[in-house]
Amino acid sequence: MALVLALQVNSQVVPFATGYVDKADLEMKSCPTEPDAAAMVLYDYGIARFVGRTRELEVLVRYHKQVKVLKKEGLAEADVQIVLESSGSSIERLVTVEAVTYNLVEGKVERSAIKKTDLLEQILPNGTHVLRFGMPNARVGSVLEIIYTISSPFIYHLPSWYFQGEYPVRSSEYTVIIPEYFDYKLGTSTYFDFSEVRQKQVQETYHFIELPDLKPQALSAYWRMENIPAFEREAFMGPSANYLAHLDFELASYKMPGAEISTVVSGDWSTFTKDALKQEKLGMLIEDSRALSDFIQQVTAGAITPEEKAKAIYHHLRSHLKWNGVSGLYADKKPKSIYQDGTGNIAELHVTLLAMLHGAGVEAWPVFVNTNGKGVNYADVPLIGDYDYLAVAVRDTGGYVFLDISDPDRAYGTLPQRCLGGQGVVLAEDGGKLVPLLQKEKFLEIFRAKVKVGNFARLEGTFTRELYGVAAEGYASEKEEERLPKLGAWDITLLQEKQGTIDQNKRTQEGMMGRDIAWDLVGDIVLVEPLLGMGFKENIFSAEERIYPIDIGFPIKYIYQVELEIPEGWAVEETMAPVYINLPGAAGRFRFLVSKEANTVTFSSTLSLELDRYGPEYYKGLRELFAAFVEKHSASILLKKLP
Amino acid sequence: MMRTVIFGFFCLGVGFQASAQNTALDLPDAVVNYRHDSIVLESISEGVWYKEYEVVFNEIPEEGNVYVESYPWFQSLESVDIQFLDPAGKVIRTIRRKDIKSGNSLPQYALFEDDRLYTFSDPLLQAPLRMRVSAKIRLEGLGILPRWNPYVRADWPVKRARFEVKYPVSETLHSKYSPDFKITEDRSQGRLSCSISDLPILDREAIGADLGERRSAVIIALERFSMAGIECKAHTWQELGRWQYQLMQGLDLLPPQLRGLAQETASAHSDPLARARALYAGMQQSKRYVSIQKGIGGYKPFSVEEVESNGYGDCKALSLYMVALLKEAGVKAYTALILSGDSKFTVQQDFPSFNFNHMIVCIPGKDTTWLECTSNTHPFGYMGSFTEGRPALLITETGGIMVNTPSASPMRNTKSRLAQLVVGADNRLSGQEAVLCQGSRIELPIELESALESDKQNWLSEVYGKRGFKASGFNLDMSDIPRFQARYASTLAALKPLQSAGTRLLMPVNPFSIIELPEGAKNPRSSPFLQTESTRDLDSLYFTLPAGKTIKALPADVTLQSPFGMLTQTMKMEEGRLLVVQEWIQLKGAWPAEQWKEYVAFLQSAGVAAKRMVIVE
Repeated sequence: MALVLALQVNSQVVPFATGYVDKADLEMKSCPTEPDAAAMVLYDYGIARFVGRTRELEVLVRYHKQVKVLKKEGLAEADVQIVLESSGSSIERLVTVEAVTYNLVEGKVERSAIKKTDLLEQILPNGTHVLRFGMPNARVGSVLEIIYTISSPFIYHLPSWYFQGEYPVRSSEYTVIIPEYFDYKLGTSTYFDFSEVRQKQVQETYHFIELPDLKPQALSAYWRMENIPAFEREAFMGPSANYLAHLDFELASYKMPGAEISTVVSGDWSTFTKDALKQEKLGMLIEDSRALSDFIQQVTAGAITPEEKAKAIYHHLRSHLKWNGVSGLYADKKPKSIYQDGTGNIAELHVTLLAMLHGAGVEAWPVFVNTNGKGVNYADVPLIGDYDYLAVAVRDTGGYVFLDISDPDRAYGTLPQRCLGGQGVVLAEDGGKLVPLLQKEKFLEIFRAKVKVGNFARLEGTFTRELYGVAAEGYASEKEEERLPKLGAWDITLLQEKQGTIDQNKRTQEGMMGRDIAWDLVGDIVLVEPLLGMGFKENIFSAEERIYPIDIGFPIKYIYQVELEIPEGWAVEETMAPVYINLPGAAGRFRFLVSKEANTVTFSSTLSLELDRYGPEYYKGLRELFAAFVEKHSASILLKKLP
Repeated sequence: MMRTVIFGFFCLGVGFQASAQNTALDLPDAVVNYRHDSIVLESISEGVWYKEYEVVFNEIPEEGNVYVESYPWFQSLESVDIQFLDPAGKVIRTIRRKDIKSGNSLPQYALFEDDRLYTFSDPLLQAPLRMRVSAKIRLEGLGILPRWNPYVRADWPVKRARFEVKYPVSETLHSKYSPDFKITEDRSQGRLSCSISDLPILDREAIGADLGERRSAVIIALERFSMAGIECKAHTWQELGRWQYQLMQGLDLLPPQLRGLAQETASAHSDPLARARALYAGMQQSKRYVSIQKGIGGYKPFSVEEVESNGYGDCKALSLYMVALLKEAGVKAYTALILSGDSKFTVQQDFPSFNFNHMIVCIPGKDTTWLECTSNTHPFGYMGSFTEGRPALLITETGGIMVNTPSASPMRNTKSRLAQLVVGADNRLSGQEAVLCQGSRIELPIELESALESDKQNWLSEVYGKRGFKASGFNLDMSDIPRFQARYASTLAALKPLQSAGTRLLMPVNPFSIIELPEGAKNPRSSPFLQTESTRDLDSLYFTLPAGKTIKALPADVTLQSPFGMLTQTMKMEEGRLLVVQEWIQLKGAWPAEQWKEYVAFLQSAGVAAKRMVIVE
C-alpha cells in the first residue's frame, strides 16, 4: 500500500511494477560476489524528471530500492532515513513513501508494510526535515523494499546518483528526463564500467495551475551499472565521494519558452572564470584596493620585488586578520571593512589579501578549492558546486605559489591540509586553469637520538626532532602529550621546543629519554628496539589489492637516526640486516642501515614517498615498502653484559 | 536503551565536551562570572525555571556557537534574552527568542528522540566578549526534577553560582546535595537556596567517572508530583514504581495470536524457566531492538501489539512484551528500571528518582533470572557488565521494589587459555591453543559468532599479529553458551623466529599477555578512577624445546598484589616441557586520584613481568 502524503505521483513515472519480490532473493543466503557482505542492494533505481506546479517547474525524483539483509549488521538498512533539504521558504516535500519488508515464512512470502504512524519526523534547527522509520519485521533474510518520491524546488542541481555504496550492488540505474529549456553539465566519476548508457528524445507534458500546459521536447538519459563491489575505505584516501561511482549534474544554462536567448548559469572554464570574476562579492572586491592604499604602502615599505611585496603583505595579514572558521567563495564586506574588523570568513580574508596584493602591483588570483569532500573536480566540467573555499595564487617562476592566511603561524607558500590532494581552479583573466594543489613543502620528520647504557641498568640519552612542512602543522594547538614523539616505553623529558622561521613551517624539539632495563634483563641479555617503534606500528596497506589511487596529498619523508653507544662491559650480540627498497621511477624508497664506529652503533632509517598521489599500480610496492619499515622499526637487537 | 532523562535537565546538551588541556598559564575559552537559576514549582504538575548566567568568552566557540541548549519534551524554552557586551560593559547587541533557532537534535544512536535543541550562532562574534543569558523554561512534568549542577559547560570554570527553589508550602520538597554547597532552607516559606563558588574546569580523564558524576550537584524532588496525568503520591521507590506501572498499564495487552503462543508454550513445558527460555528465544529470533525515545521522556513504551506488528521495539517495549508473554504463560515476571553501562551517575538509593536509562526483565525465584531483551544473541539469563551488580527498580502491581542485580566475581569472568607451543628447527614457535571463556568473557565469542568473516579475520590478524602469531583453523564452539561458557581454538604459527644471540634463543614467557597502561598514565590525576568489572585471565602455556636445547636462564616466579588486582607467574619444567602459568586478575572498584600513581606502577610492573624472556641454549 502506497502511503500518499501529499499528491499522487503520475503513475507513468514508474517504469516497472513495484511490490514484486523474487523468491530466489528471499532464499539467498549470501551475496554471490561477496559472500561476506552483510547486505546486498538487489536493485536501486532512480528517475528524475520535471513537473509543473503553480507557475514553475519542479524536479520530481522517485527512488526505488530493494535490499537483501544477509547478516545481522545488514539490519542497519532497516532503519531508514529520508532527508528533505530546505533553503529559506523553499523546501523539498516527500510526495509518497512506501516501504515493505518481505520474509519467507514456511515457504510463503510474507509482506509487512509501514503505516503512516510509523513515520517519525524531525525538524532540525537549520530547517532540514528528516523522516525516519524502522522497517517492520525486518530480520536476517528479509528483503526490504523502499519507494519514495521527493518533489524539489531546487533545480540548479539535479540529484546526484551513486551507483556504489557500503554494500555490493547487483543493479543500479538512473534516468533523468530534462526538457529542452535546461542544459545541465554532467560530471561522471567511476572506476567501473557502465553496463548501459543510452539517451533519446521524448516529449513531455507539464500541467500548471495558473498557466497553460507546456509540451517540450526532452532528453531522456539512462545509465546502468551492474555487480558493483562494496566500497571499503583504505589507507590514504580522500573523501569517499572521490572514489564512489557516481553522476553529478549542474545547471549550465536555461532558455524558458518565449525567451530568445539562453541564460548562462555556468559554462566552460572560460565562462566559469569570467562569471566568477564578475561577481560583486568576489571579482569586484579584489580590485577594490584604493581604500587600503595607505596600509599597503606601510606594509610594503622597503620591499622591492613582487615576491618581497607579496611576502610583506602576507605576513602582515596572516596575523592581522582572524579567520572565523567559516568557508566560502564570496565576501559580504569590502576589503577595507574586513581589514578594519580584523575578522571574516575565508573568502573575506583572501579577498582582502588579493586586494592588497593587486594594490601593490603583485599578480595574484583567486583559487577555488574543494575542501568539503563533495566529490571530485571534473577536469572538463566546471561545476561550481564542487568548490567551497577560496585561496590565493601568486605567480612564481614556473607556476604558482598558493597562499592561505587562515592560520597566523602558516608559512608563506603553504596550504592547509584540507586544501591539498585535489585540484583547484585558478581564476585568471585569460581563462580558468585547473591546477593540482600540491604542497610546496614535504611532510618531513627528522628524528635523531643518542643513547647509551647508563648506570643502574638504565638506557638514557638525548634526542632532537625536527618537523617541517605539513608535519609541523597544527602543532601549536596540540596538547603537550600529543606533541611528544611516540617512543613506547621510554620516558621523555622535553627540554626545548622552537618554532620555525617565518618562511617555513618548522618545529623543533630537544629532550632527554630514558628507559629502565633491569626488568628486561634475562640473565646477561637485554632486548632493545633501536628505532623505538617510531613511525607506523603496523602496515597500513593491509588489503591484497587496491582498485583506487593512493591519495597522500603531499610528499612524505621520515628520517630516523639512533646512535647507540655501547659502554665498556657491554656488547651488541646481534644486529640487523640492511634494507633497500625502491619504488619504480624513484617514486619512493625505504633505506635501513646499520653502521658501527668504535663503540657506537648507528641505526638509520629513511622512508620517502615522492608523489602526492600514487596509481593502484604502485600498491604492491608501497605495501612491501611499509611492511619492511614496520618490521625494522619494531625489531630488537640484543645487548649483552660481558662477564 | 532509554535516554537518561535527568541528564538533560539542568545541563546543556553539548556541555560535556572534553576541554582542551589548560596549563596554569592558559586562559580557559570562557569563564562563567555568575549563574543564577531559580525554579518556581507552581503546583505538583507545573513549574517555571528561570535561568540567568554571564559568560566571558576569551575564545569564541567554533562557528560562533555561543548558545546551544537542549531540553527534553517536557521542558520548553518560553523566552530568552541574550545580551552581548563589549569589554567596557556596553551592550552591543541583543538577541531574542525569535533569533534562536530551534528544532530536534538528530540522534546518532537512536532512530528517534523528542528533545528540542536551541541554538544561536554568529560566526562574526569576536572575543573578548561578554554574554548575558536570561531564559524562562516551562516545566510540564515534575516527576523528573532531580539534578542541578552549576556548570554551563564542563570546560568553562564558574566563579559563583546560586540555585533557588520556590515551592508551594503545602508540598514537601526533598533535596540532596554535595557537601561543597552552602544551603539555606525555609520550609515555612517554601524556599531552598544553594550557592557555590570558584569551580574549576573539569577535564575528562581516562577510566574515570563521567564528568556529570564529578560535578557538584543538587538533587530535588517533590513528595508528590503529577506527570502524564498520573499522580505519584510519595517520594518512595514504591510510589515511583507504582507511577511507572500505571504509565505502562494497558500497553501489555496481548493480541490473540500471542496469547495462543504463550498458552502453547505453557502446555509444552511444565517448568516455568523452560517456558521463559522458549519465549525468550522466540523473541530473539523475531524482534529487533530499535531505539525510539518518544513519549514521557522515554519512559512510556510502545504497546505489545505495536511490537508484534512492527517486529521491533526499544528496551521498554521489548521488556514489556516479554513480561506480558511470560505472564500469559504462567511465569511471574516484572520489568525493572536500571542504570546500565559504564555508570555515568550512580543511582542514589536513599533518594528515589527516575535516574535510569534502561529496562530489563526479572523472573523472581530461587535463582532469580534476569533477561536482556535488546539482544538477539545473549544467552537466556545473561547480564554481563552492562547491567550486573547494581540497583534495579522492579515495577510490580503494588509499586516499585528496589533490589540489586547479582555481581560477578573475577573467577566467574574468566578467560582460560591452554597453549601447547613447540620451538621448531627454524626457531619459530608454533602450536595449538584452546581458550575457555566464562561469564562476561563470552561477549567476545558471541560477537565473533555473528561477525562478518572479514571482521573475524581482521580481529584474528590484529589480536594474534600483535602477539607475534598468525592464527589459522579458528574454531568457535558455542554449544555450552546456555551455561555462559564458550570455547575457541586455533593453530598458531609465529610470524618470525625467536630472537637469537649466538647459540642462545630468547623466548617470551607469555607471548599472549599484553598489559598496557591507560591513556594519560604518566599525567597527574585529579579525579577518581575505576575498573568497571572484575576479570581473570589464566594462561597455562607449555613450551617444547628443540632437541638438544635446554633452559639456560629462567626468570624468577612473580607475585604482584595490589588493591587493583593481582599477577602471579610461575615457571617449572614438567615432563621435559616448560610450563608457564600466569594469572592476571583485575578487580572491579573505584579509587581516589591519590592512588593513581600506585595503580600505574602496578600495571607497569605487571606489564614488564608479562614480557619477560627465557634464555634457551
